[in-house]
Amino acid sequence: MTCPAAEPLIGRYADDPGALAPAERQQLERHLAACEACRLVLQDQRDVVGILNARPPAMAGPAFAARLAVRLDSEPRGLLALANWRAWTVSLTPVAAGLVLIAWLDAGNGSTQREVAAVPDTFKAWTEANATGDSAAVFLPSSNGDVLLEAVLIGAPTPAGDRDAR
Amino acid sequence: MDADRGLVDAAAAGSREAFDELVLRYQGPVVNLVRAMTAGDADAEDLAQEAFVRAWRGIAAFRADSAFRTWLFGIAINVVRTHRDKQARFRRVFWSSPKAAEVTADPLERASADDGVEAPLAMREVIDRALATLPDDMRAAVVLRDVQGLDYREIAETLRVPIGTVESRIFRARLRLRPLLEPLRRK
Repeated sequence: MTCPAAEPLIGRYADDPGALAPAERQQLERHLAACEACRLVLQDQRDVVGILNARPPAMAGPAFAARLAVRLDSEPRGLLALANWRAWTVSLTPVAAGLVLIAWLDAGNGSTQREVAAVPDTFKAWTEANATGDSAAVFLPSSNGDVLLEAVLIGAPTPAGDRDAR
Repeated sequence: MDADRGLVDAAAAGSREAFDELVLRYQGPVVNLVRAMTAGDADAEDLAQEAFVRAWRGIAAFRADSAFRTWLFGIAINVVRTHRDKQARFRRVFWSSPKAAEVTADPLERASADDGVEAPLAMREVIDRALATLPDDMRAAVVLRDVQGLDYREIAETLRVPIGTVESRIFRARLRLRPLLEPLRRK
């Protein structure tokens, strides 16, 4: 056994030697007998375990349970808990993810199967009537079948005052 | 068999009395865990309370494939992590200095007091300050093992990592703690 292979076992051997498998433990003990560096590491591990085990525990204050009871009393239960938006948002996350996936798949189908809607004549007439020399409006059919209006300005837009003067 | 199973089942069915009994059983260990994880933060009791409140909210969904104790400790550790993240963000924004509790006089001096009260408190403070220097993952593993006394399998369950990871974190945590705890070894 090498030192790097021994190290993970040393930590456990320091506080719970019985947790190692017999063969593992035997190998480690053979290595420790031959390796002073690892024996020192083992001693360091045991020192720390001893100090941490002796740490005086912190206690809950005398009013801890009573104070907590007041908080718990104000917690909604049963049907009232349904109004808890945090619980809702967490528990409904998988449902929301499923809906998004379905919508995405449906949108993909729609773009290949639906027919593109024609541009209504009214829109075309309006565009021609309002066209100026330096601007134009173009109607483009969008992928989901709706008509998408895209105004494409050619050159600088004509100021309103100039247009009125013409 | 989880010794808390009867109380947990009753609490999951909505019994506050059963949950209150669990609180009495675990308030000490949870407060102790939170204090060890937060270096004696003044908010430690509030964080412990928050852990119980979250446990009460979630106990109906608690599954029997883990022990109540490891589940509760896992909640407490998450509460502490969230709290630390918030504190870190706050400090980044406002450049506030560490809390007064973190910069008080050297506890080793107080540890020399021989009144039977001050020395244990100071010893705990030295240990908690040393623990506070560890990265979160290492600190949680070594606290659960050497302070709370959980076995390796329970720690793996609490932290949701493989046992090999737990062993490695505990080993490395102790290596880092060794020089910081040297003054206590000499005493």
